[in-house]
Amino acid sequence: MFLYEDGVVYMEEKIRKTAEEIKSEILNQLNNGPLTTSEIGNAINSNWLTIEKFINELKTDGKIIEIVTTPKMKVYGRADDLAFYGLPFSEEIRRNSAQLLRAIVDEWKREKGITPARTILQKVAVELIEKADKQLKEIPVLRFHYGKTLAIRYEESQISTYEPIRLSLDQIKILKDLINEYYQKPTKYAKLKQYGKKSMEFYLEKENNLLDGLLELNCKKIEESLIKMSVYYPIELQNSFPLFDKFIYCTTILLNLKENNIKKEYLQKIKEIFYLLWDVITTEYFFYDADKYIHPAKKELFNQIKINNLNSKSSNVLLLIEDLESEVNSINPEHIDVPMDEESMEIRRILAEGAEEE
Amino acid sequence: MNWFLDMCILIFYSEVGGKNYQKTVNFVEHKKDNAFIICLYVSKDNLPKWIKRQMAITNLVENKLSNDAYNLEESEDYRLLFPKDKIKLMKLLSIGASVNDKIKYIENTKRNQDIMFQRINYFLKNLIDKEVVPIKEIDWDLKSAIFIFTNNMSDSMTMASGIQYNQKENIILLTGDKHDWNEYNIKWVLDSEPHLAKKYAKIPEIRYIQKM
Repeated sequence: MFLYEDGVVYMEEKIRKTAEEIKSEILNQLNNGPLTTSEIGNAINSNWLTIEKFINELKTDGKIIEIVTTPKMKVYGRADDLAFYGLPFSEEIRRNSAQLLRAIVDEWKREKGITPARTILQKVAVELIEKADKQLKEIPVLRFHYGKTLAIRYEESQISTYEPIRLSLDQIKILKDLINEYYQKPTKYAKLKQYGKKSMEFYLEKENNLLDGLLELNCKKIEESLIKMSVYYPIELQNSFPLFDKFIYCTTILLNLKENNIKKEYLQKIKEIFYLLWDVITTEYFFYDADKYIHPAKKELFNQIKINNLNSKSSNVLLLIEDLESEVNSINPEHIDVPMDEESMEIRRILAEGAEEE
Repeated sequence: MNWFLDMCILIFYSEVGGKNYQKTVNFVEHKKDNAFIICLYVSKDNLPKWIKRQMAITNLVENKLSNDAYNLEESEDYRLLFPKDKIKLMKLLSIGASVNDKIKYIENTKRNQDIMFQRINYFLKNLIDKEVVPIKEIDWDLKSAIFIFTNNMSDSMTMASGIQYNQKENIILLTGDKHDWNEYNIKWVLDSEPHLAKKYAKIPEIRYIQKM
């Protein structure tokens, strides 16, 4: 029998729990990632009605969020979940990642008396994992908006509840060297150092040339950089590629407009869409990398979170790019600069070859 | 006048500086009250497929020139290509192999392709007045009979669409293909198939952009 009276719930096993106790248990269960309503109910030995009631209260209080809603399931996660997108990483991954962040922050505080900036902290964590031996290599490193990162973010109030990971003497030495190297360095330094490594050319091109081009309103630089980015485009990110490809087409045409003033007017739009597109591409990258760290039992949930996040972002960007494409296709070609050098003429000749037989 | 355009007219319009470019631009610039008509087979099927194959060619150029170990034949893009597209690919790759700055060459290839696509898209969106003959309504017998003479599926589909539409409204077929598109071919087709000759009594006039 389940009774709820004056804030006290009488559970089946006759253990009296206050509403606050139940809510606290629900939150504790969600410490290790999102769960369905029935998983929460089973874990705290309570029925669906009770769980639903307290979940709603916790939602109203802003403590938990509904991550996925389908006809088959409702999934909830903590609003302050450390895992990006509240992904269902295992308890071990969460713990190890959090303990590593804690160890770095503790060491940084000991050495320099302050806490490092979050991006620097993530870069140091990734570099430490890459330089360290097998033990740390088990901690996932994933590509995201600003390059490689751990699966969780740093929140002092929560990370401080974890014990720091035990580092070997060699690892401590590497960490101290990294702290000395990164201390007082701008975030850009950390990004460029990481992007300089193999397989990060896509990020490097964006950081090094595209952003400068957009800042300087240098059309040539932007166009060259975008084409280079398409050369470095990660082949595994197939969902975002059609968007990226359409975007490159639009920008190539707009940046070759003869009229400079109109071209510059479009730059702001190009910039805005690019940032949204970057968000889509790097979100896909994050989910792509995260996929291999998700337990098979949590794959359905993982995929649902992925679809929810990627679909809404992609459809938003698609609308903007399609609008831009429609504008581009309405521009009188006479207003577009066509290269007339020998190489360009030959390229066009080859591409148009055999038109009569088409 | 109602000009029924073959797909090659749009491609000629996109190839700035090409051998048929100036004639095509002159023709377009004198459009005035004339109607430009295209069949739905071209706008919804043949042209999008051609564009897709051209994109595959430049993707392959990009992949191969930025990574010599890239295996062309194993790629999905390569499987999309017709033999004639593979020749284009090889031509573009051989130019790429001879230049010092491969990335610049890739960039140039993509830029020129985008400019060509924009011109085709502009033509479709702003210069075409009517898209006619749904693909499903193309007369299968007529198309098959034309195919016997041309041995070219896309020509057969476009010509069949043109002949069908000409029964409703007089058109002039405009093409650059002097080999397959001629009135003798159409007459032979209809002479050899009396039931088609009866059904398609009016044969459209054919003109060539090269002679405009």
